[in-house]
Amino acid sequence: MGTIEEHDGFISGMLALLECGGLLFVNDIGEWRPAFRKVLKIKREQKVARHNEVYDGAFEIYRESNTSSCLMRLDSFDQVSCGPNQP
Amino acid sequence: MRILALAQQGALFVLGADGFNISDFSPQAARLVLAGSYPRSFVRRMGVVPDLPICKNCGMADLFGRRFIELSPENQCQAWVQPDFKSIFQPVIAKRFKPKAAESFENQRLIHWYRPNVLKTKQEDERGEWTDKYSQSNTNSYNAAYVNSNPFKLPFPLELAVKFGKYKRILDAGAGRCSLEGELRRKGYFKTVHNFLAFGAYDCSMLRICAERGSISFQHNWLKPLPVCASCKFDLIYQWAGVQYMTWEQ
Repeated sequence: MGTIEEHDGFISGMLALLECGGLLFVNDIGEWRPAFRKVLKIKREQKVARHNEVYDGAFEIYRESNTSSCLMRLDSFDQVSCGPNQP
Repeated sequence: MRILALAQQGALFVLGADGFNISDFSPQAARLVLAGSYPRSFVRRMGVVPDLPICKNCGMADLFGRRFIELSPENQCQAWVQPDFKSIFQPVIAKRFKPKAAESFENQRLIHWYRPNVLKTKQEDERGEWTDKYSQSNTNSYNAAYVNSNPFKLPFPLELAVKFGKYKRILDAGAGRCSLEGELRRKGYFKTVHNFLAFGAYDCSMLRICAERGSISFQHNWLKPLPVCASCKFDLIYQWAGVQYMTWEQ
């Protein structure tokens, strides 16, 4: 099911790996959804991410692309080498 | 060098190390491989190699990062290989592949790999691993969605977006039996998907399904940062049917 802290850790971790405007798609069954929704509401209020619940248990979560922190990371994305195995 | 991760008859190429040969492996590890056809290539021997202990557990971490054995050059063991294991390179399986078929070798592999290879993956384990249990308790689902020849995972609207190149860098978080990679491969979507990374399975037996399908996956706890550079980003992260297990962390 997961605690709010765990869901926050999961969503925050995945958002950190998303490009600005990128999509985190989550779908599952079970009783985890109330805690998950609470975290998404906080992320929306913080303007970090917005989401659509496509159907019960399926979430499209978009990392906001117009926040300054996201744009700064995009700038650095263009400048930082990802190493020999990355294009 | 992690040659334990090599499948039976899998090949290891050591690049950028002129003069590297079998004697450069630890004595125990050197028993597991033969020299390959190409310079600095090595092929994992078939079956269990004599005089090298069999690992009591899978060498990979479980879903939450716990490791049951630590491998090192001094503590080398070999993975258990079932007596009836059949590599895709053995004639009995290889003859199923059509050399001039419209389908690539890698797509034919999804069809022809030997299904019993992912069962009884641990020696002397009466309880069995995930594949043993699930194939018994949910046989139809196991056959239709876990070891099937036509891996699928994307819901229709998302599949369309991938097909038309909207998403180019994809992370499968909770990849399980690597169905997403299999679907992208067999449908030819890697023409537009440039980066793909997958992690997360119930146990090693599930990762064996990935290996047999020819997919790369690894174990990682998603509550910890992924071991990729800070600037490596994805435009689609996909999580299917794994969030319900979050409390296992407790």
